[in-house]
Amino acid sequence: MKTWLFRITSVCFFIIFLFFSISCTDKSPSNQVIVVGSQWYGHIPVWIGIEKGIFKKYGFDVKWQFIGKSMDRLNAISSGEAHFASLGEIAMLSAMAHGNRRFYWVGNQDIAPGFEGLVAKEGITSFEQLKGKKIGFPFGASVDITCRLLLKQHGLDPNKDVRLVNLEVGDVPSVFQTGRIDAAIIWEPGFSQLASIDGATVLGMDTDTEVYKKFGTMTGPDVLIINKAWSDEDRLRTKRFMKAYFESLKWVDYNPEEAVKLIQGKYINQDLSLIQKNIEKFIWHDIEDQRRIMTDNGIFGQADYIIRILHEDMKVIPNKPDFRKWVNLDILSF
Amino acid sequence: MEGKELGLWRSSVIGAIGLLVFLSIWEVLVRTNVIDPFFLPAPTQVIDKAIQMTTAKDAVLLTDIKISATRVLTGFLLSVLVGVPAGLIMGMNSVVRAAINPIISIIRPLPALSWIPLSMLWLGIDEQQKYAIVFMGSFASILVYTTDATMRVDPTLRRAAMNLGASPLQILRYVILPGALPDLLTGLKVVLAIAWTCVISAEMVGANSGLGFRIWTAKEWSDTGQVLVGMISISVTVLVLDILFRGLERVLLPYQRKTSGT
Repeated sequence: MKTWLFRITSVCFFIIFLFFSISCTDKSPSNQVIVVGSQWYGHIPVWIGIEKGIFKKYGFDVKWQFIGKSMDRLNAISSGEAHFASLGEIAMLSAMAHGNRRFYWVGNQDIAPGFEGLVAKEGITSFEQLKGKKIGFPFGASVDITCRLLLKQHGLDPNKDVRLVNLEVGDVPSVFQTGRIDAAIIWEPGFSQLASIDGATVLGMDTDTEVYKKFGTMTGPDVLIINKAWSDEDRLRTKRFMKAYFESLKWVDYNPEEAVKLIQGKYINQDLSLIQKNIEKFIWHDIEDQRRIMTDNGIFGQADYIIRILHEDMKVIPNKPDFRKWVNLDILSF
Repeated sequence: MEGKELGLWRSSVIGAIGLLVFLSIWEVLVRTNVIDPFFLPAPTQVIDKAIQMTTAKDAVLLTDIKISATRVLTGFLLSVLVGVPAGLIMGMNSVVRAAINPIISIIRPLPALSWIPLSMLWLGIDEQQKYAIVFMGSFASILVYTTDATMRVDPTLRRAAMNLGASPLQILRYVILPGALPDLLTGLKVVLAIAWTCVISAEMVGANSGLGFRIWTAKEWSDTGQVLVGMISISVTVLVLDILFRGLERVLLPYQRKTSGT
């Protein structure tokens, strides 16, 4: 065989071997569960489950891993390296629209409106004054939609009348503080930082949007997703895990003050009183609530509405996914 | 065949066959669902996406390539303007070299990404910040390549020129520069590719356009097809710039072409 032909064949075999090794990576069953999340309050049930030993009681060794962005968490779940996560609904819907079938949508653990808002720097006190100004936020997050909805409601075209600037979540407060952008929109804990800056004005909140007025939720509510392969591998284990999760959630609901003391400093770097004040606004959805919430009259109607915005108005997803195909409530032990 | 040079035509055909085989295997693996298309779309899907991004009303892909290339070339040229003269001086003068080397040793390992927080505070989120990140990511490497290329020039030639009464400027013009140019151009070619990695970091935040922005935004919307189009666009653009650079090399170093015989 000619040397060059041999080389090409070897390279081809190597590539095939590489692809097979990637797709056949051993994901052995174990009671270790990797949960990914950020500093957002919606993750408190997981933290409490770890701190109070609730997961351990159910036989799980839960490892918490910080991943700041919803889409990154979703990718970690899709890869199979993480098993369970709470994330923003918008990331989940986008992944569905692009055909990602590697996860189940298993719940909506909370409703927490009033935690993200548009803040303008000193001298800007109305939406009209935002014309021609720079607004910073992380693209692709719930604030992307909240910002566009608020601007539209006040007669401004988000694509023409203002300049939208993509920023990392953690960079928003510092960039705003230096005056490099004229306004910013972000969720907690960044929102409190922005709002507390001298001269800053809160122009609008997620509770001012048509989504809240129609459905009573934030634009991108928290959703719970679980890796499909891991879940299907041992359904009893998954049911047990979900039971443990919702037991933690119930504990948080009944003991908010104690919960905050347990997590402050370790999972959230915010003032104790501020977390306590914010957590009071949370409405937690129990395991029993899920049958009521995960319906057309509940969060599904809101999801349909958001999909229409993403597909028709923003044109960022290629189709309107039938998200009901991803829903799996059987693994919740009612 | 070991050791023998393949002709240009032959190596191109073999290269094309290799690429075609690679793309075919990729396509088949995706079409037969061995690879989940969400993780890696098939080449035909990537091509479709690229066409869509090129023929759309606003033709974002071509605009992004233009914007990123402008940022890379501006930052890179600024680095060359500062780095090459400084490198020549460092290569010729051991005192300057000893004084500046520790600073360069500190700056050089810093990835472009690490400059983002500070550059945003110092320069904001406009174009200057993007140029600055490319500059910071490529300047130290250019300086080191130039210093090394200068130091590699045969000292006998330098001494001979001095004995013949050449001034420092004449030594630079007729001995150092021609001697260092081949290594210097090779170094610049490497750094130009590095500059592209810098611009992708620079466009991650505070940007509304460019290939880096497009890749990062596509990631946020789970659009792996667009991510791949962005990545391939970078490769193709770097390849085109590399070909242009080779052309420049042939113009500046005609004697090398003659000696190497290629």
